[in-house]
Amino acid sequence: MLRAYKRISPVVMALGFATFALAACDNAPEQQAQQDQQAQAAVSYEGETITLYVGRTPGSGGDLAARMFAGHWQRHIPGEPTIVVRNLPGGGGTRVFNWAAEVADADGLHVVFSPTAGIEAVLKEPGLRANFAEMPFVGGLMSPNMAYVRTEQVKEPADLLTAQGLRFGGNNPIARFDLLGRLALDALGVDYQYVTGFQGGADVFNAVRRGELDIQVGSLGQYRFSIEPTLVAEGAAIPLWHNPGTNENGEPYPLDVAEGIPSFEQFYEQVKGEPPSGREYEMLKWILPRVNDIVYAAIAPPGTPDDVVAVLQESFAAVTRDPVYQEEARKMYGFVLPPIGAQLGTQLMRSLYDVPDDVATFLNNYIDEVR
Amino acid sequence: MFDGMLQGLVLAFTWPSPLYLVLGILLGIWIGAVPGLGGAVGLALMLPFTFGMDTAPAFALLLGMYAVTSTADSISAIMFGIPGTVASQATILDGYPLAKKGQAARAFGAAYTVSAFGGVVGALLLAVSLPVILPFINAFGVPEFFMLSVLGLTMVGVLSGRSLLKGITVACFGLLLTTVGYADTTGVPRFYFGIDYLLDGLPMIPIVLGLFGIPELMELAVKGTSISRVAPQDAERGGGLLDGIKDVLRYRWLTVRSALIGTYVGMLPGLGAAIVDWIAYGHAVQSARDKSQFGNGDIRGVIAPETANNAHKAGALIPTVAFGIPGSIGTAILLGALVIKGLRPGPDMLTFDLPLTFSMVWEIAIANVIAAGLLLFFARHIHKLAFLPGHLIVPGVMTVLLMGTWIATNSIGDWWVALAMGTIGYLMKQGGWPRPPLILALVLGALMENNYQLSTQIYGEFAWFYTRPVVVIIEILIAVTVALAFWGVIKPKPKDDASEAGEGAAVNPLVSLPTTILIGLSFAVAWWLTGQFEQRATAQFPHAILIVGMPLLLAILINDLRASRAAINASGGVVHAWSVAVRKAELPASLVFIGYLLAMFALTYLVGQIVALPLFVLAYLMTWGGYRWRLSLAYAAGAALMVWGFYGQLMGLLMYDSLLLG
Repeated sequence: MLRAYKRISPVVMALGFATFALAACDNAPEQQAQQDQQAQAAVSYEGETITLYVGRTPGSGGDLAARMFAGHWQRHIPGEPTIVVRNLPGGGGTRVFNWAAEVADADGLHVVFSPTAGIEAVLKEPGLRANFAEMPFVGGLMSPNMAYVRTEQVKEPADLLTAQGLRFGGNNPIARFDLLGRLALDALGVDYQYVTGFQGGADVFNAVRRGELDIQVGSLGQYRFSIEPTLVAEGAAIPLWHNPGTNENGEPYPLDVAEGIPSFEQFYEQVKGEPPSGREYEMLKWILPRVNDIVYAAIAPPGTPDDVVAVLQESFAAVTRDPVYQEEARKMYGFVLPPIGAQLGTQLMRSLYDVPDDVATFLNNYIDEVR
Repeated sequence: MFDGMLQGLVLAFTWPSPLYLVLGILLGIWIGAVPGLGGAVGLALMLPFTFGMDTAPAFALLLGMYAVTSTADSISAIMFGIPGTVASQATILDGYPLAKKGQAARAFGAAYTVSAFGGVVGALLLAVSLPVILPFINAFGVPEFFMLSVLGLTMVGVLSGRSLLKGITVACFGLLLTTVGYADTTGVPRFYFGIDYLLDGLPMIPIVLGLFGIPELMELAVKGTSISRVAPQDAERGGGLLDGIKDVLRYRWLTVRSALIGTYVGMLPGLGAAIVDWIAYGHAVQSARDKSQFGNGDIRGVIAPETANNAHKAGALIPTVAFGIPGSIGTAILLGALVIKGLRPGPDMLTFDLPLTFSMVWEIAIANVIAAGLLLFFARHIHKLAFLPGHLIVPGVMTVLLMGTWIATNSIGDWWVALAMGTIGYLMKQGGWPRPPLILALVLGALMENNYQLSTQIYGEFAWFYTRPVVVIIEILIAVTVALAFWGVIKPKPKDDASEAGEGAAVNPLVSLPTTILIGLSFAVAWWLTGQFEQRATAQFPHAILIVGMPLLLAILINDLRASRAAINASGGVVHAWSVAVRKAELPASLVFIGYLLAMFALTYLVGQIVALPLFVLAYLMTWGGYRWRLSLAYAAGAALMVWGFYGQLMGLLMYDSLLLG
């Protein structure tokens, strides 16, 4: 059915135009919704194969997340298509998005499911040519993360403010965890040294375990599975804060899945006795939803028909509500990754290209000073 | 603890775990035997199937596969000089020359026996080390990792044959290649020339397969011989499977030492299988009294890396299970499997879940023994491929090689890298440039730069060089290794030194000269670009490499020019000397072979590789090999089925998006 789409696309365009004309009528929203439902009902993937592209190598976290999600997604798409996962690593994870924007057919059979390149878009890093604002957002998953510290100097959270020369470790100055960690520590006024260049979260954890580093910002899954049972259980580390989610109004909110670990705002108030403020905090608040809220994003090539996108969006959302998927996610991550709906995701993706000058200048200088 | 071991054994043999273990072993053998796949890819593909399984059978399947890929990878390393996985890079140095001598069976006999031994010893050491290994692992911080990588790099001395100067320069070239792409410390991209493909750096698999595989296939095609240069009846005596097993008994202490090296290096997260086989190979050369046959088919050059890479697998599980620290993608997937099954890496695995931990140990040991037995059985037949006409081998292996490189990033860039490295590899081989130092440098480069930058950030510029005991011990080892290497260079050599036949032994100055100029140009461009990097940490490592490499290259250039002049004088003119050099290097036929590959690349742009590769097979067999169309067509159809079915459908690789066929 989907291949036939290309042939009937003029008809679809004409229908779209007619729909636009009807928008003048008072009862347009109801009619629109009705038409959307009818169009969605007409979309069936029976006998089709959807290819899900991942911009990471086989076996990486992003790859395993896609494979796990794909197994459930196919049950929720009308016609229960086969979903195959293919890897397109390269360009620091940007190649897969370029490929979707420039090469992939916009027929609903090609979808990217990959860690997003939000920071690359904000900083206009080389390599990323895809424009996320032009690509239909299907659905997203948040991967909660948190900060912890060794206990030599920081026995209680408040000790963080008086400790001297703590070492905070990361992967590189434009990496998400590096940026979030630095902004948070600077907002708090912590005396720390930034050490970067580790190969991944496991490397940073290993250096913390050896005592070469004191602070790490890492995924909540890594904390639950590797850090909590070892360093925290031994009394060698304590959790500090988790990075919160951001609602439609741009306000941070604590994540339920990070139970027992305060959000950054809660932590700040706890140790400083006042709500967070200051330039670094404002930047943290600005950047959090853009680079942290959507870690895994499903995005379709530009021009994918709206009704097909709507089917994919609905089925994506249905997976995140599916108890079987949730059970498996709990096993894999220790919790269910909070979903990001299509509306919020689209809004966030568009906001990547609406960077105020002062924010861009601050971020570039902030990164350059540690390069 | 003894109870835990017994309970683990019972768990390993509780139905249906043995069934899944055997299934994992068979899959692992297949994945290891196909160049470019590797254990991590196999584990990633199999992991989703284990989601619904019970814990013990799930790990039987995964560990069966994980444990044996580095056993089966010796098939292509020995038969074709192409490493099956990164863990068998060093095996090709002596394994392939043994096949050329008609002794592939002997190499297989030794490789599989020591693989089983290494796997079992590694598993036993894993078992006894689990409770007490923490202080050892903690003693290695970033300065120690940096010094270990420097120590590893000193192996260049033993991998360069008679061409130490060229070996060090090649190593500098390899280190420089590791600086392509984003610099980890600063996040600034280096030497990527606006090409997205290069932003993540040069992938290892296309380089290794290109550098070693393409020149060997080219030689087979050009010479028109079989892999074995001697007929079966003329093969040297002592070249059978049993002889390989006897070799292991003869070099038992080398086997034991290599197993220890493999296990304990494996325990250090971050030092992967790609490094351990070189360390073991270097140890075999350094500890040998008679080094003359290394690189020319010395069985010790097979025994050491093949023992170490299997022992490494068990060692690498220690930090994963005990601390939740995976040292590689493979162990990261196993860690993922642990947590999906509700297990928590760390102390619990050594207390509450000890039986399960020991069942893993048993499964690794059992898998290694079964895989070795199966492969020994198959080797009786596989080694006969060495006596087939080379023209029947070349197109099939080239197809597998190119699809193996495609696995790296599913990009045509992988093919260009492989072809570029294949051409460089050919020039290096013909011009007396040793290739192994380049791979060693590629393996160690990122490790060196990262750990140096991290050491200076954490411990300051210099103090850690003399205040950390383990660093000082490694420095002493480095000094001894370097001194021995120089002694090896300056001491008088017997005239019949057979190492002349090994890597870097060819004497053809007029062919060496283009390689010298090529590397020189890359050094010059890199120097110019490095001068434009604003950040010290971005420029520091490339500068350091070039400061060492450029004077050495100048010395080589002077040597090459002198030798070229002597060759020209001896031949009575430039034209004659050039024609002699070209004939010696078999340059025209080699260029035609490269032309075949370029034509196939061009065809891939037009119609994709599912069509282009079989057409290459067909064209090669009919026009170069002189075979009849029926055989050629059947062979090409088989190649098409393999590319489409195995790589496209089963492996799910994304094929090239061609202009005409999409």
